[in-house]
Amino acid sequence: MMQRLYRLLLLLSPREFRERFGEELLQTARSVQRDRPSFTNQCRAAIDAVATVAALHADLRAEARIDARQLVTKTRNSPMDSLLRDIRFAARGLVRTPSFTIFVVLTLALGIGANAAMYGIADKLLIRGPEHIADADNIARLFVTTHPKGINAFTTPSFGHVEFDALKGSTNVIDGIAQYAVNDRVEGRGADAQSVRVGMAAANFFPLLGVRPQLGRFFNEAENATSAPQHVIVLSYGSWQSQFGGKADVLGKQVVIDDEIYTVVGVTPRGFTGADLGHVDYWAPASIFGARITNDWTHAWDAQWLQGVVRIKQGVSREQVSRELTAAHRRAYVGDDKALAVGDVFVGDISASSDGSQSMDIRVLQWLSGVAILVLLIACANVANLLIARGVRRGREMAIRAALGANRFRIIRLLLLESLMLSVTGATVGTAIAYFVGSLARSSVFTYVEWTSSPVDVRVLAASIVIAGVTGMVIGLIPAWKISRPNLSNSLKSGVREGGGRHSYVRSGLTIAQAALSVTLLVGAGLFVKSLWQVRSLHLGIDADRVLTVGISRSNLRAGTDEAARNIERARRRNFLTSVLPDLAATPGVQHAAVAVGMPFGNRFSVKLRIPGIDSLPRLSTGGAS
Amino acid sequence: MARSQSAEEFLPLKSDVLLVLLALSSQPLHGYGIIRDVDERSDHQVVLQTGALYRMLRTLLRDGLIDECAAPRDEESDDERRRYYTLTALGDSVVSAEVARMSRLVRAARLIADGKKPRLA
Repeated sequence: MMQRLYRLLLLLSPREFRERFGEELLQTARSVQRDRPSFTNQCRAAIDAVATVAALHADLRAEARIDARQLVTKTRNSPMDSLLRDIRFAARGLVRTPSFTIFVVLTLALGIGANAAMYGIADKLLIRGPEHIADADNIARLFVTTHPKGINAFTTPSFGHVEFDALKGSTNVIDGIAQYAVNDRVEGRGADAQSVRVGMAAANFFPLLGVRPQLGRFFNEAENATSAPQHVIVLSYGSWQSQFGGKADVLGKQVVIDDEIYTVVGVTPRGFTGADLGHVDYWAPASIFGARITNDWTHAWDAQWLQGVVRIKQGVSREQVSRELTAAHRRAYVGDDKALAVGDVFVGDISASSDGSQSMDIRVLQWLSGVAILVLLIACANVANLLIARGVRRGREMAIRAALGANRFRIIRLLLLESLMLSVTGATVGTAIAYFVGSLARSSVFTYVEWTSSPVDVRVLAASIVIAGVTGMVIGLIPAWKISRPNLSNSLKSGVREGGGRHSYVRSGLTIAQAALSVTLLVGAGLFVKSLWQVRSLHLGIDADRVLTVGISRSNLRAGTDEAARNIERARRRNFLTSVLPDLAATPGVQHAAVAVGMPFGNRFSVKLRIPGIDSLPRLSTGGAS
Repeated sequence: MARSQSAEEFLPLKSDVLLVLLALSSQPLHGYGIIRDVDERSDHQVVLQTGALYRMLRTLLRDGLIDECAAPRDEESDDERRRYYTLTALGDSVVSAEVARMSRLVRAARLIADGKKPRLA
């Protein structure tokens, strides 16, 4: 009977125990029965058998609980492990749905790439400005506004040399004022001659900007003396590389500009373009060129060929500087121009356009950036909606996670990791798009700017990472917040339709936002195309088709020549044009040939006229035409 | 269990567990041998039941206090199915720790009985 009882015990006991101790236990039980055959002992053995079965099961349950707890403790002890696990899981999930992932990554790449490209341009135009300028915040450009009788107010950044002599030392609110001009000149002689950009500057132009030479030195006051300027020249880094192979023994070498020989004294650092963004090949003393304009250039108020940069003293407002400079200008002016005599001198951004207003490039940049941001917002709304839809399909998965003890933080973290992974991948692809868009914008819109870095440099990459991070959070947070609150009982019931039939305000909101932004963008694009079409179909009074223009860049008249010699040279140049004209007209394919002083709409001597209500729209800010 | 355990974690031991460990501390024994040893040493006061013994052996094996071993040479093996158990180093230190604990307790109890104030730590 005892044997049968213990057999029953083994049958009911956990398998692990039965296999390990079964035989042995029965044998021992047999031996014990031999020793204690009494009925009392048999009863005790029966109770023992029953109690042992129950106790063994309880033991196993308790052990399983302890094991589980230790497992959980282990998991909690290594947050890095769980993070890595989540990352792996998120990556696997994205790889499993390739079409979703590719679509989202491309959408985000477009948005992030466009913004990174715009950042690359804004960085140069708005943030960094011309390179190698120390404390650029205190550097400003000089302008003067005049109010001539009968025509619109006129603002220009151009001044005569005498103006700078008058303003220099007139006030203590500035640390310095320097003049410069950049023009096309001819470098070399004969067949090797080429058009180059030459900056003509005062000697204090370089120290005022705070630039240090790459090699040698800049020219000094004595070399720029108005009476006897020296023919010295400073190479740009680019010219040094292309013309002299970047060799260190370039100092003392000679360069021919406008048929005159200059001696190289220094090289500017790479990327230095003075106070503008445009490319410059050489820097030479301004006084050399002044004498070629008129013989009385040092005191002629109307020989306005120089621009001015001012270094404002720390803590002084631009308004105060403008007031003081205007007062100094009016005190000093002795010219014939009545409007200029009472003109308002003011200082503005060095990036400002020639009328002192915000430069066209910056306005174009702002528009393009606005479009880029809209594209990114649409991409975000679109992707967020897709993520919610994906999340709704994964409702049961989230519910199971929650039921297994994943708290809301874990679920949100997993979903955010997914969206970050998408946005970072998008940014990686977006880098290629940024390179393409950046190159296109540089070569088609911002052509004159001297670009020294690649369209995708370290700063653009950093910007993409930041944009990707913010995008990842934006597209991830709303879906994560929504999905991480699963309705456990409903989601776990397999019969309930996944996704639920409830109306989602968040999703509708995102769809509406997306549609609204798209419409804004489409309307903007439509208006742009319409404006372009109107401009193209505008009748200009000329037939510009099949017309070619040829410009001739020639040396200025040599300085110091007397008026008679100048007239002879002028006549020679005129004769050259009239003599070449019949040959041109006789060229096959040429119908007519003519000589002109300027081109329509491209004439430096033109004056802007606006007839209110007929050919122009009044400015919105002034509320009407002036 | 991978992590090393200190003997103190197993204290206090139940009296029958201590008796089983003490039985194994002198020589390796099989299940029936343990029952007989405990029976003799306790002067028939402690009667181990078969099921309870094997449940205990399972726990002790799992905790690493005892281990299976080969049958001693001199033991005439009446059945090769019998398995022999012996104390591990951990089991040995658990027994020592338990004995020390109990003797401290007994000493303290004597001091209290003598009307003195014992230092229990």
